[in-house]
Amino acid sequence: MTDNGFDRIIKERLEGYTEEAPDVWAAIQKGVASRRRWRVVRRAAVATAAAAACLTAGLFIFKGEDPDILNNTPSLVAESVSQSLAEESQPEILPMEEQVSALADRGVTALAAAPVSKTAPVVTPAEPVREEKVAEVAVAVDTPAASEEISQPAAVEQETPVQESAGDSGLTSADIPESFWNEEEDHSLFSEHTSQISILSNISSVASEGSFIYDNGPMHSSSQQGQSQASSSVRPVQKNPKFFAPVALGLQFKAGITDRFAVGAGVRYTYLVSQYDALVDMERFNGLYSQLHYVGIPVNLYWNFVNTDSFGAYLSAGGAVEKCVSQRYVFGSRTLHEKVYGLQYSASLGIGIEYWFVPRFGIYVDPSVVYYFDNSQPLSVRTQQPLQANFEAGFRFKL
Amino acid sequence: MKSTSTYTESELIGGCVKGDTLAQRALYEKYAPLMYPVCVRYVGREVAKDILQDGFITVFDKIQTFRGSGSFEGWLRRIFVNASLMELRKADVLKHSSDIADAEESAGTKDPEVSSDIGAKQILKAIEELPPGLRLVFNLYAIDGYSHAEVAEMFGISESSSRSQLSRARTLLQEKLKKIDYDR
Repeated sequence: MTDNGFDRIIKERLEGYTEEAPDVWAAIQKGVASRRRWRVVRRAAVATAAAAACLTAGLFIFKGEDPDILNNTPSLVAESVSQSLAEESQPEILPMEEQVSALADRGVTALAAAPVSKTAPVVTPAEPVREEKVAEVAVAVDTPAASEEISQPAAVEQETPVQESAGDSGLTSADIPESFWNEEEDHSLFSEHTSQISILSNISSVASEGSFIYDNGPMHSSSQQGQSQASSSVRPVQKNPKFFAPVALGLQFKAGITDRFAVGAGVRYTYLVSQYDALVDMERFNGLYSQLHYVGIPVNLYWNFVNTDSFGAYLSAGGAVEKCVSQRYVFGSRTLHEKVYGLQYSASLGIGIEYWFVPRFGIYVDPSVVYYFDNSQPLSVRTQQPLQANFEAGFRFKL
Repeated sequence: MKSTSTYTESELIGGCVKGDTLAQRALYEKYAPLMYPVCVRYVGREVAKDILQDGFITVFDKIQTFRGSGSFEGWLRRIFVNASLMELRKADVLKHSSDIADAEESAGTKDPEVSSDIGAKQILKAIEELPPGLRLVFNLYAIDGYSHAEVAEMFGISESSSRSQLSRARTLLQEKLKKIDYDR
């Protein structure tokens, strides 16, 4: 019998072999529920981040529009609507003589007109025609009694536009502060917009090592079962890979929602370098460098607990979605590029301070704790140690 | 309530995709006795329970990715084998791989007969007793059909080491089986 024959016998005898398994059903149910919860949380976080990004983008688009866009807000349009109505209706009123003769031709009498002219008609902006009618009817009456009534519509014609529009909105021009119509003042929803340029890096484990090399942990990340790794021709085999401190650059826009809350979103580029021994197409290379380039969208909610003219302190919470746009291996004199599938999601909590040198320019530092979810990404410090302490610093500009 | 034995395979899979707990339970009850020995083969009885648990959690999490192009049992088996391999990587079972490198590749076992009286239970016990590195290579190559190149790639060893280790595993296993047969 050959070795292969021996293997075949072993395999055949084990085929279909069953054995009573320990009861782990309760633990499985718990694990499944836990994963399901995580999935929901992750989807909610992504949806929230996307919504916040859209909201932030929308705000900046809104901010860039002509200030007259405010006239589209129903509660604030009273004066502009009334003015335009007055302008539109005025040229259509005929001179009195022409109106009288025109109505006489149509056989209109004073009796028909009298009740209408007793009170000032309430005319809505949607019914400008009725206003014309009032003026015509009132003027058409050629009796002393009606003459008094004729003067009332004339007065109404001057004042009605403001009253009728104010009736719609619940506001009169007197209710609206004079400053509102001053175009130089900002009446948008948000009190403050800033942009920032940031430089950030992970300090966890790097700082504790006293160098820029993280040198600990098992040889494989759990993401190795993921698609990107499964199809990769490069496989890390070293027990102790080295991870260099990640470096990131970003640009973010931040908009104040209230005095205390602000939302920020932007773009961020991150560069991750690792070094380990690896098999490349079954050939072993020692000290291979893996360079990963990520581009992502961070979204954060800020709560200012100190807010003076020159100094601010705040807590932040948020998340980021990142895509690895390039993965490059360098070994010997050769380089190899590989495509990375999927996205890297992360959630963060931080505390930050900012100092404004001048009203529109300042600096900030933002230490935070970031958790990188297992999204089947290539081996890096993030997959090895998902919970990272980040240190971010940069400049802020008020727009 | 539907009895676990009355589900067809497609009903089981469909129910699990929908997150139906009854279907999950039925699938667990049907396949746990089959998958448990697979885990035992790789990681031993002590750790197999944890692997069985992790494996089923992965199964229920990823079952929507099963496309039905191959056998469902084969798909399940791969998940449990992968879960076992993950555990072995963590434990770094090949750190004692000097045994592997030093092992001489035998030219073939002289008398590799396996007595027909020896059943799966005894064979499983004998495999369990192999040193972890030898057990791993034997399982991957001889039973689960991986090539030496794949084994070498997975664990960062050379193909010749994989061959040597397999040869040594066969020899040891045959000795154990003979002893079992002799003791009967």
